[in-house]
Amino acid sequence: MSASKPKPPTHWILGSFKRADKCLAAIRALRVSGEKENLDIYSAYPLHGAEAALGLKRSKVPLIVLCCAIFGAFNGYTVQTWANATSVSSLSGEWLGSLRGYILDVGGRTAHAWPLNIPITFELGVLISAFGAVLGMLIINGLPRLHHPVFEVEAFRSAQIDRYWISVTTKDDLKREQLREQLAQLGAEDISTVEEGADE
Amino acid sequence: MSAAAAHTPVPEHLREAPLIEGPQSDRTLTDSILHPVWRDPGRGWWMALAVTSTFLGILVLCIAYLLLTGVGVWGNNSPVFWAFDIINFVWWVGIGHAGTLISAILLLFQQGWRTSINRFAEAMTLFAVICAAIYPGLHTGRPWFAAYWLVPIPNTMDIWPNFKSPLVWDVFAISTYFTVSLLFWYVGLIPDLATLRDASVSRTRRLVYGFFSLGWRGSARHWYNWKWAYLLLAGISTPLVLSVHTIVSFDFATSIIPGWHTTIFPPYFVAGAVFSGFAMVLSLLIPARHFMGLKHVLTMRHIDNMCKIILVTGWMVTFGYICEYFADWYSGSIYEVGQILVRMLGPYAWSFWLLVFCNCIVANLFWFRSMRRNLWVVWIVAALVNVGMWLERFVIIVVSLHRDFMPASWGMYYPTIIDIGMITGTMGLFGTAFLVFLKFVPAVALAEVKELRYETELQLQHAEEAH
Repeated sequence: MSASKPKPPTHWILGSFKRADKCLAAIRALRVSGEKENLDIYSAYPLHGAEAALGLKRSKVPLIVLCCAIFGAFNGYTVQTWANATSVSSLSGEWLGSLRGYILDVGGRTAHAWPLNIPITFELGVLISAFGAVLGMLIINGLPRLHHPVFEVEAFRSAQIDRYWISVTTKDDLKREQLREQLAQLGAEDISTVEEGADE
Repeated sequence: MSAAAAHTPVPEHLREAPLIEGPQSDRTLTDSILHPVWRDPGRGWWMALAVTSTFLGILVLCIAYLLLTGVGVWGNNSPVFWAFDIINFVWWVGIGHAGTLISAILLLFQQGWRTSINRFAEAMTLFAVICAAIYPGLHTGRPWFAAYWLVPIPNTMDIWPNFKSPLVWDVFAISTYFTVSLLFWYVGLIPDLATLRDASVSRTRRLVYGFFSLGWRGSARHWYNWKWAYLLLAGISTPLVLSVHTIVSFDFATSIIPGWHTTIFPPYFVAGAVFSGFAMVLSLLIPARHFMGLKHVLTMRHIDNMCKIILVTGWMVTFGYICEYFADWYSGSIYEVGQILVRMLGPYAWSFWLLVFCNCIVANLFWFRSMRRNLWVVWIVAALVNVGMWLERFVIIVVSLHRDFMPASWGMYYPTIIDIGMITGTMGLFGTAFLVFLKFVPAVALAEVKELRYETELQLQHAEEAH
């Protein structure tokens, strides 16, 4: 990166643990000594108690899914009613006319028969909420992402296999050494530092 | 097991078998589950692929011939306008249902044994739904025009789908089902793809798996949102899977044909779907666990549990038949009663009695523990259940249509060589997709098995401390 004002690089201090309980204990100790938002845990499966140890706020995914469900169901119902039970004659021409509904009279049934619109209303609610759950989760997590400082450490591969890693970030050069020592005292192994945005 | 239970030791023979056998660590689980992906697939895999891809080739030829000629190449004709195409469609969709049941409903019920079989079953769902979707698409005759009356595409011809038709509901149900199943499968797969990326030694694999793992790094913040997304997908998939076969059964139940016009269809279609789906999971799982060296995570306890589900759903299906025939008799309609008699005594009576044998009788072997533990018996019963469930759709569709109200319009149905080619062809498509899946992706959800191992370890620790 060739920014005109050089920003102070962020130091990522990483350490690994063999045992999950040691890892969680280390996170709690680091939180007591004042680190908060700059902490993270990495594990190969969802680690129980990690949210509590990190003090994470409630996930926004359920809210996104609820909004998507309402939006999808509303659209499903509206499209069906519009297409089969309305015909706005003022919509004409090649573009607007293609959107005009057509009152479909099959077997003399009433044009707007709401019980028959329920299956598709439900299906579209489900479809859009599934997209909401997956895309919402990815967007909140900042994924997909091509690169991340933690991947600079070769030993970090074990985070996806059998080890529990923690990371602490700081912009302060002095604090970096202090955090490294603190991690070592807490029993971390493979302690390494990555500078984000320094020279790439 | 609760902490209190540890005070009174459970006798050895009453203790539940573990879901992960042997002393395992996260490292050994990673190695053993990823082994089939890394290793050379071997002669057996290539030979199986040769067979399945031959049938896939036959499917492609049949479809090409059908599109060039017309749907007349199938045996459907007056009075049996729906035949193999719709039978196979319903059969394949039903098979898919076990995948969602395992991944979603058993997750909500916190059944630990779903963990090693869910990936497998979800993949089966995806491939089965693809096979299913081929049939109604082709049955429209000219699928490229069918888009106008299947989905609302703005056009100047004033053509819109008839949203009051269950066939249009089907389009939405099946496409939603496929999409949601794919998303569910992929979300579960992301962490395992990250493990594949980080456990691989070659650069190409690292890049490919790295691309598909979307940069997953296993952060606790990510896991937290992932868990919510996964749980919510399970929550919405549960009513979805029930709705899909319900809507499929509406294709029949909302009509007036004797043998179709019945309100019992939605629940018994769903039960039948789960019945055949679990049978298909077993048919695939028994050989796969043997050849892939996954017996420590796909244990006899998993197979035992699945056999019990087959037993239960088999009885649900049997109960459905009894209700259906009781309602037909009680209605006093000569057409409904006539339909029962035609099924039992008519020209297709063999299919009815074979169906009763396969669906109502054979599965009762699973009352016996020794039968549930004999893999040959389990495999053969599973195969017979799939035959039985195919015959059920044959009886409902062909037998109901071949003799309806007017004797003058009665007729027989015989499949053509293209019909036969297409059903074996979709089996080839299914098999090919499955073999490719087994080669490139871990067949067992690795992250979830590790989580299960960790939970079991914690429970044992608590039990020891309480002691």
